[in-house]
Amino acid sequence: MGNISLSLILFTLFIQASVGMVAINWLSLLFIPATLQHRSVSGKIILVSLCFALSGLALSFLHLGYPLNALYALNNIGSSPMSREILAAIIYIPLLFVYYLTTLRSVGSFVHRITEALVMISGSILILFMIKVYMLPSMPHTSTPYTPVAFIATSFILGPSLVFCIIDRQNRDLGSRLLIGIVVFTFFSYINLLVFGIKDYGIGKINVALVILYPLAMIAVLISIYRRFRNNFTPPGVISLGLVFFCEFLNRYLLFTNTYPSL
Amino acid sequence: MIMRYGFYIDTSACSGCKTCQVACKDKNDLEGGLLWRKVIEIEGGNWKSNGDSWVELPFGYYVSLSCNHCESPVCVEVCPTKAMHIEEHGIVLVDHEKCMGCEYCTWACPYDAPKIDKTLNKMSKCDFCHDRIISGKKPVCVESCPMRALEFANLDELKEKYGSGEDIYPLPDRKITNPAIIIKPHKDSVKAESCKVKISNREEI
Repeated sequence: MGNISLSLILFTLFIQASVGMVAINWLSLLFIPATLQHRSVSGKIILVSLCFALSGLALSFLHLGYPLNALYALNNIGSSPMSREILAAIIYIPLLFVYYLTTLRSVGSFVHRITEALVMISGSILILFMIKVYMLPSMPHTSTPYTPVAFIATSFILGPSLVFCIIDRQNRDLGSRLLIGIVVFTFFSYINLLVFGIKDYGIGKINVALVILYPLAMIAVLISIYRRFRNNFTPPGVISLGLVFFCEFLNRYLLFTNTYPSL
Repeated sequence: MIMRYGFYIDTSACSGCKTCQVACKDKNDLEGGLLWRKVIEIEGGNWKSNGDSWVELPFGYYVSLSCNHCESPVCVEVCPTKAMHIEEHGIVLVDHEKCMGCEYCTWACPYDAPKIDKTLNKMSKCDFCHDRIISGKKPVCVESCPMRALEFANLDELKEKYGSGEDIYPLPDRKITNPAIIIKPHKDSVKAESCKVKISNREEI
C-alpha cells in the first residue's frame, strides 16, 4: 500500500460513516418523527456514530509516525487543510458526545435541537475539510471532482447502512427507505467511478473489480428490497451491505493509492 | 531582497550513474530505501513507418532531483504542525521537535521530496547540506557528480548564467511552487510530450 496506510483509509471511512449516521438520524426525526422519536433507537444510532468517530480518531493516530507531536497539529490553521480537519474533528466528536447525552435525556427539547444543529454543522464542516485535504493544486491525482463526490457518497452509503442495521428490526418501513437510499447513493458512487475515477486513474485491477462489484452490490440490495415488499424472506443485510462496504473500501483504496507518489 | 540558493541541473549531461544519490545517502547516513536525492529514469519511444518496414525510435534520459527548496513551498504551507519551515537563504527544513510524521507534506509536494524516516517516524528531506554550506563547501551531491551535471550557487547568479530553464517531463509546472532549480533539458525531453513515456524506476525512487 506504499505510504498510504490502512489506518488512514479506515479513518476517512469511519468518520464519514459517523457523520452519515447523524445526518440520517436528523433527517428521520425531521421527516418521519413518529418512527424515531423513541429515545433508545435514536440514542443507539448516536452511540454507534460516536463509536465510529472515536475509532476513526484512534485509527488516525495509528497513521501518525510520532503521535505525541499531534499536540502541535493546530499550529497552522491559517493555511493547512489538515490542521483545519483536525480542528473540525476536535469540535465534532465532543459535540457528538453531548448530543448523545441529550438524546438519552430529552429528545425534541430545545437543548437537544440546538446540539443536533451544532453536530450537523460541525460534521458537515469536517467532511468539507476532509475533502479540502486532497484538493490542493499540487495534488492533481486527487484534486478532481472524484474526491468530493466519493466522500459525500460514502457518508450517505455507510451512514444509512449502519442505521439500517440498528433500526430494521423495530422499523421495517424506515429500513426499506434506507435501503432505497443506499442503492441511490451506491449508484452515484458507481457513476463517479465510471466518469471521474477511470478517467483520472485508468483501468487498473481495482477499477475492474469495482466496475463489476458495484452493480452486484446494488443488485443484492435491490433483491433485498423486492423481497421485503413481497413480504418474503429477507436475505441477511450482512451479504448485500457487506458488499457495499467492501466496494466503498476498495474505492477509497483506489483514491489513496493514486495520491502517492506525486511524480 | 533575500539571497536564495539553488541547483542547476543539466539533464543533457547526466549519465544516470547515481553517484549524487549515493553520496547523499552516505553523507546523511540514510537508511535503506530512503532517498533525499533520487535519479529519475525516463524512457519512452515510438515507431515510425519507413516504406514497408517500421523504425524504432527509443529514447531515455535522467533527472537528478532532491528537494527544490521552493520559493512557495507547498510542504510548508500545508504542514499542520509548522514543522516544515523556511530558514535563511530559502532553505526548507524539518523541525523534528514538532513533526508528527503525518506525511501530508509528501502527498502535497509535487516533487515527492519529503520522505518518512522510518527510524525516527518523522519526515526527512534534503537540507541543501546546510552544514557544508556554512563552512563554504558545496552540497555533497554537487561535488560528487562526475559529469558536472549539477551546480549549486546563488539562484540569481544561476539565472544570470543559464536563464530560467525549462519544465521537462516528469516535473510539474514550476508555477505551482517556484522551485529553486534551473533545468537544462535533455534533447529528448521534448519527445516526452508526443511519445509514450514512463518513469522506469518508480519502485526505486
